[in-house]
Amino acid sequence: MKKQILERILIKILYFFFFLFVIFPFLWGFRTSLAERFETALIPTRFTLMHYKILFARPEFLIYLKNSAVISLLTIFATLIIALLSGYALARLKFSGQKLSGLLLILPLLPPVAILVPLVSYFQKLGLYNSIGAIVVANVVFNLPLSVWMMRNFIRGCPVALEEAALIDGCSRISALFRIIVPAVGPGIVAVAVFVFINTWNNFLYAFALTSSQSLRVLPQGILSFLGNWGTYWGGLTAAGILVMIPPVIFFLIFQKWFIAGIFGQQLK
Amino acid sequence: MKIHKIILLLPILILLNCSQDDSSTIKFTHIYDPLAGPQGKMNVDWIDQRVQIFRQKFPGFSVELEQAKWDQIDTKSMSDFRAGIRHDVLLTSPQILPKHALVGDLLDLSPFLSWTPKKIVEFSWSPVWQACVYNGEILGVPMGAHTRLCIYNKEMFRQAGLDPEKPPQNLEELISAAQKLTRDINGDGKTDIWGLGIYFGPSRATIELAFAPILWHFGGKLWDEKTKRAVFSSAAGIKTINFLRDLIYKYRVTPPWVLSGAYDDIVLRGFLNEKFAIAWGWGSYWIQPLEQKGWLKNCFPPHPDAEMTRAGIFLTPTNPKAQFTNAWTISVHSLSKKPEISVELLKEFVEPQALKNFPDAGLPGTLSNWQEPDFQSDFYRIWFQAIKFGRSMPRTAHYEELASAIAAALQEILVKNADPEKTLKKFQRAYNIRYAGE
Repeated sequence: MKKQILERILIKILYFFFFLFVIFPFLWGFRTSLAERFETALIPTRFTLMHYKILFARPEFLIYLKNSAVISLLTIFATLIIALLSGYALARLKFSGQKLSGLLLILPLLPPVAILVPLVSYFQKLGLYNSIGAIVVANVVFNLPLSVWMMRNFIRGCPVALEEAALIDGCSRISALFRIIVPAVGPGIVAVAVFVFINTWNNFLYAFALTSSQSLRVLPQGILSFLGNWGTYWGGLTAAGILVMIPPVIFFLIFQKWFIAGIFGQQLK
Repeated sequence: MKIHKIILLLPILILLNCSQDDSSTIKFTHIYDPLAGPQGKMNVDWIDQRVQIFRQKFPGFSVELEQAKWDQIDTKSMSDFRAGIRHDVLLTSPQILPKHALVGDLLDLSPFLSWTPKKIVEFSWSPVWQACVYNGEILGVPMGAHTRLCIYNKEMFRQAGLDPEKPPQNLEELISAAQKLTRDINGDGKTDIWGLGIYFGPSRATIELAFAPILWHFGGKLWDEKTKRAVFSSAAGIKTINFLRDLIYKYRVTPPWVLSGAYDDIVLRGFLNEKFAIAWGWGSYWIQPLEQKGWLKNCFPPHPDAEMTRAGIFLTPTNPKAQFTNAWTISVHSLSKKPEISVELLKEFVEPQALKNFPDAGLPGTLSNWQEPDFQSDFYRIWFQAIKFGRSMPRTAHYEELASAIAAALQEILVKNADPEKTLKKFQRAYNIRYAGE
């Protein structure tokens, strides 16, 4: 009995240290965002909202925020549509080369930076360079392989009988997809949307490579700008980091139940 | 809305966002983000002013401002050149200009500038100009001067029984002063004030601010321009690394924590928080924080009555021409459709009167500015001397790789206590296998 209690206490202590290890960078970032510049004490002698006020006083922060939001929403929208249609085709239709669909999982292993120069060149030729559209297309392309694979698995988990009944009743395939499959794979769609949102919201590379205008910059670029050539403005950097973290966290908290169900392939009642 | 309509609408939305490449628009790429702080905003405002003057002179042309991060602007210029994307005027780093020359993304400005010898002297007095001229081609024009020297805390000098008006003149005096200044104030057996703060972290700054100046002082070189090979493991290189190591482990005047962290965290914050009595590698870009702290008076912005109250400065006690000096340079992209007009925009930015107000110039890069009354104080005379004693980094197209190789070697020696000679030779060999002969 005593041994069991001791084990439990030890496990709790281990959990606590693990929690501390994970949470410490966030706590330290939060502390720095509320401390005055050049404050080195573990607990600052004076707390200030100065860094947050400075951020909101600068129109650039709101511009970058808007750009990041627009790009993320357009990317989610486009990725979901393509992933849903492709995932459905892979799950339900029979066509030649279908067995090669597993190769989709290899594509995300390709580091985007390795093909950056040809990618930029293609976007330039397409007339897309230096536009929001370029960042959206790049994000969609690089999010698609995993999104399609996830959708395929969710759709395969749906009973075929329901869909067949709808087809017998005169429903077209596309109509059956949207009336029968989409409601059934709701958690899966949310899981894909959250996955795409987090990837896109945090993405720096495509905005860096495919745009150069000041008006098209996104939040990760803004955050990096605090790392100056002759010094780093840690207060501003951490304040921006905390603010940038809020939307994905809210997004996750709202859709947490669906996201977890989607990831584990469960159906919600 | 039906799904197929939505799908059709998406590409249209994307295409509506596309930009047009118009040759009457001159693109100027800079590194300043107003979000990053007041300094960024001040630089962007200065750029806007120059652009407005340019537009008054050339009403047929507009200027589009582009932005890249300071450590990515050179890479972006080169990769965009390869991808066929034009820029017109851009800021560049002098250390990377040889790589630009290899890639060919920058225009030779010699045929366009048509400057008189007097005008060229405005810039050529500074060591940064030497970095701008590569194989007879002018690839950039300096926009200021960033140099480094040593700073000291006068109050700590007094407390240690040293004359605060007589800073060290050579390396021996520096070590002797640092030993007297290193103190345990509260008697707990731990050092509270370190005599000498110098950055040895895992970055390029260690090479530029610590290793190279001492190596040059001992008569060594990082890279040989004739053979185009790395030569940092020479006898002078080994002497340098032993000197740096002794500061921490033999003389104990420098704390071991300078081996990690960022340059500004160690040197700037270490000195302002009174952890160091002397800081080596103090940049001209850090005059403002000293003024804000009240350790200088009338030094920022420059004023004839500039006074060093609590902080004093002195030239790094090495031989002349042994202190790394650089600045931002301004160049024209070789894909520019209007090189003549682009050069006119460049000229607008490097007018001496304009550069005087350029916040990121650091110190003036143009000679005529140094003759103005604001720069005649003792404080600025020392800085002027530091620039004249300055030196640029070796003109190799693989400077970043060279600096990384040396930084890795230094970390192994200083942190893991590896054998200096063997380690320097190992990293030199590895570099030369890949890059010797360029």
